[in-house]
Amino acid sequence: MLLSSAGIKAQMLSVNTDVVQDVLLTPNVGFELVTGERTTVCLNVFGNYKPWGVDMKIVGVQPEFRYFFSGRPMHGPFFGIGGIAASYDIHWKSKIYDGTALGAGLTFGYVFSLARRINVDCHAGFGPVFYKHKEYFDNDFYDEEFIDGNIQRANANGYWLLPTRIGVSVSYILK
Amino acid sequence: MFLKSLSYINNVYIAALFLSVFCLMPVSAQDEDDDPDMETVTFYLTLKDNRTGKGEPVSVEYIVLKSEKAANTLKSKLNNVLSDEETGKDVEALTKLLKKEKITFKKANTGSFKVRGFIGDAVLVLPNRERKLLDVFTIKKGRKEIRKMFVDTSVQHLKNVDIVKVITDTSKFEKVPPIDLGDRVIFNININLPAGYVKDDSRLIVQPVAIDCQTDDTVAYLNPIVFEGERYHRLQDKRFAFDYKKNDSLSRGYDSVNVLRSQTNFVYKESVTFRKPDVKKNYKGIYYTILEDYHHPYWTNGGEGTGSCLAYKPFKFMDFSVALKEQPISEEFMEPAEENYMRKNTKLSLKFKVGKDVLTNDSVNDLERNKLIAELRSYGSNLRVVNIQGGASPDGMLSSNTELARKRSAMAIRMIRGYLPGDVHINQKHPLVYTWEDVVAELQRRGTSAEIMEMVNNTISGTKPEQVNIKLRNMPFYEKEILPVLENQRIMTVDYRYELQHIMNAEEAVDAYYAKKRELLAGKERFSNGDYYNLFATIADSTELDTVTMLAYKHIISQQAYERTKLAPYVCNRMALLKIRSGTPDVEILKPFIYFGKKAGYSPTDMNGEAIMVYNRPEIVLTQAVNYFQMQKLDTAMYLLNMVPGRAETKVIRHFLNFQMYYLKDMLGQLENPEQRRLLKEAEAYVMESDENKAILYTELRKYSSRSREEIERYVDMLGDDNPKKWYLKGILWSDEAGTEPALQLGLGNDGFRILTEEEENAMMIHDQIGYKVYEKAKEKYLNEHNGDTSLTTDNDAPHFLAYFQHSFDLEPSYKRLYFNEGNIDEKMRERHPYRKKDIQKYRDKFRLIMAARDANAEHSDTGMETAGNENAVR
Repeated sequence: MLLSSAGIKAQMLSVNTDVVQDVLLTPNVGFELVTGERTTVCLNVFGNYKPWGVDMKIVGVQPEFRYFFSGRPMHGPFFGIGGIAASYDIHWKSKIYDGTALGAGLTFGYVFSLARRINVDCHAGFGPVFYKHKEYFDNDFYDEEFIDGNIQRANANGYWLLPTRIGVSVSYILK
Repeated sequence: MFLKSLSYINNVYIAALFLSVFCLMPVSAQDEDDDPDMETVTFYLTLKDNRTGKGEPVSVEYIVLKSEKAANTLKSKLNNVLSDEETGKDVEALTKLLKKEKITFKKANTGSFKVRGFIGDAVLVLPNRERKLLDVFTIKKGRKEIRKMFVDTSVQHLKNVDIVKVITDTSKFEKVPPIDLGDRVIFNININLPAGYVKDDSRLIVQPVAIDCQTDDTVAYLNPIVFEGERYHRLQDKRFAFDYKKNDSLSRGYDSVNVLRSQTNFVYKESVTFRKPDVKKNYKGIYYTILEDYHHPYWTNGGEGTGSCLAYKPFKFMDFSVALKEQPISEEFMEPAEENYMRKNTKLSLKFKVGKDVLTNDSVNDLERNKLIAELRSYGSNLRVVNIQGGASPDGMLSSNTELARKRSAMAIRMIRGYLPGDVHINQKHPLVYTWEDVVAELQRRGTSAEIMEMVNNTISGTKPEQVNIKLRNMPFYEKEILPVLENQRIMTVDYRYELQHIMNAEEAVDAYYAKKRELLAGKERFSNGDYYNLFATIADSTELDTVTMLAYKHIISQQAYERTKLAPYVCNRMALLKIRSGTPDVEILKPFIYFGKKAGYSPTDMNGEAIMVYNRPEIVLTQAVNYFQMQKLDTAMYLLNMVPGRAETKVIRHFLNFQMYYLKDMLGQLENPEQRRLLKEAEAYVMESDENKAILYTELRKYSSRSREEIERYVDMLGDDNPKKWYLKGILWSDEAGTEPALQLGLGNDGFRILTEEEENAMMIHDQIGYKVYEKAKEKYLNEHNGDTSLTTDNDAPHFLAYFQHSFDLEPSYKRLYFNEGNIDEKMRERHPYRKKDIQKYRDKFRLIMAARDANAEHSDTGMETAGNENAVR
């Protein structure tokens, strides 16, 4: 949707990875495509499975639309409007959180040029993240007890103000 | 299941992560080697922007030296050589020092560079050629990068100043007239943008445009010149898929040497050559200068203050007569002086006895005879030939009629022979024999009725010719219609020729020329080709020969197929040379005598094997080569020269060609080829043999040399007073001093009297009444002596240069066209001192005054040598 609204001009294309997520053993890859004189669209996907021994599994996607103040895309300061959609199953302090989250927010960042085709992009974005998940203790038989007509229902929903994106990405310009 | 499979990837991922850390290390680390004695260091040097406080890329020159001590020694030497403000002397001194020390600085335009050296080596850097910023860095083990932000303390940072307008338009564009070389024009680009205009992330586009001066139409867009800031260029390259040269439409004009930098002024001077599509037209070169950031232009000069239609044409008056010799007159060109005869016809109606050649006793015969003789004798000795032809009508036998006509015409000849001079040729022409068809044609011409015509035709068609008359005689209309025609056919015709003019020999031709010169010039008299040949062969005075040339040329070209006449090549060649000497070359004069594609001396023949004419005569080819040369069609000139190799003149003309091709380049500092330099040197020796050429070049290119007006004027004054070039050049020389010329010493009598201006008279009247009375008497005396002509004592305010130009126009009107495009008289001068038609007499008066002052000065001069007017003497 973001792509169609921005209008694809098919110019520079880069591939990136968020180093912070990488360090957290959350493999991720993103693509950024220049769509105008000052704009780009990005799409980042990530996922992990018990990183660093923590019992958690997350899969998510982060689309974003960026506007660069410097006048050239993929260069200098920018702000973006992004979203996040994730599916998670986290075991944290004897509680289990199993559900999905959807959020949107504003991102601010700066792109440095490291070499001819390599950029480093520092960014941070915050916004409301709406969640809906099953929340229960370890020993609960949630799946047996919280079934309503053969459907497992979530028992928790709400929103948090969370970082939608935060990290340092290294990107390589493909063309 | 999918998520579980990720656990397998985890371990692999960790390993990949560690590997990628090494890959993403700074690029400078990738090519590290294990040499313990050496280190590769990356320098990041910037210059603090005093307004923003940020570090901006800075151009540095650097050198690696063997020790810190050596670097510091060199640093102190450089300190002594460089001053606080970079001047031309700095560059010279620096170059000398570097040459002496045998070192070469490397350059890094953005302040970033990499150096690989031994541990302990030192790097001396010189940012922006600023003495105060000299610095030395030592290469140490483990030190892989050096970052420094230089601060130029000489620039004062102003606090508490609100900058309302960053750029006030203080840009300067110098309107330098182009140099017109005939077939091409050299436009000048002069850009001077103060600091604040260009930026590191901006692009400067200079778009030269050629415009037709007459129509103001844009003729051509020339190659643009593009400058970019380092950041702009880097991002532009990235934007165009890292192939800037291929993908950016302006990359063909990109100048990678001059990089735009923020807060630095930008000065650029360049010459652009434009090949004229029409050599006869004038073109100006304007250039649009546009500064743009990433997305839009933010400043442009709009083309203002750039091109000018005034142009330097430094070679327009060059004298190539050194190269050319007059073609000698020879018998090859001789044509007999033309005979001028008139032919007239008349009739002789004599009455003869029937069938005989005996005249009747008729007074009409006497009358006819007397009338004819009187007419013939009226031409006196000019009568040359009389032809008498009898006519035989178709009635009767043809043979007897013809014989009778012959006898009768012989009789007529005998009749008049005694009355005419013996040297008049009287000839009997074969009788004119008429047929019955001639009779019919005559009847028709007379408007005879159709019935009669029909009857005559019927009679003729069905009858033998000798019987026709017998039949027609019986017809009632015979006497009225047929007989008059027959009688008319029997009348004799006389044609005679008389001479209009006596054929002149050489001496007579010369005498006639001087006697009838005015009429010849007015076109009321005419000479023949042969007469002109005699004149050319006899007259020696060169000025007179020029006049004869002009007359002969006018006469020659009025004839049909004149190029085939014998004298035409000689006359046309002379005319072409005359035009070259007067500075108005014309290739059309000799065009009919040149056949491109054929060798010298090519001579086609007609059906009888006789030569039609000779093409490509060497002298004509050489003259035409000079014509094309003067019109700046150098290719054609060279082609013609190659037609006649080996001649001494060819070599000399080549010298002129080389001179023209390389002299200006040398003046503009663009001649680098040693072979071209050598050719120029040889050429200069020939060209500068002529004082006229020296005068021309020194005057036309005085702005490129250090000679003073007086020095150059010495050469110009060597030219004759009748040479229009002399006055034109003086006009150029004196244009710089318009309004500041010294006053002329007027009142050229021995008593130094001059007529005062009105203000001076009034002042004298008030302050010196006795002196005023003396003056009044002297004034009256002067006016009486000079018939009231005060022009030689009353100065006017016309500037000297316009007086000189006017005189050159009076001598050669075509020079006026040159003046209106003359680059040596710029637009400001023309605004201050416009050339006005209504002031022409004023200019002429001024010129007379200047000349009178000059002559008076020469008279009074002790040396007895002519000086250049009293203008310089007064000084």
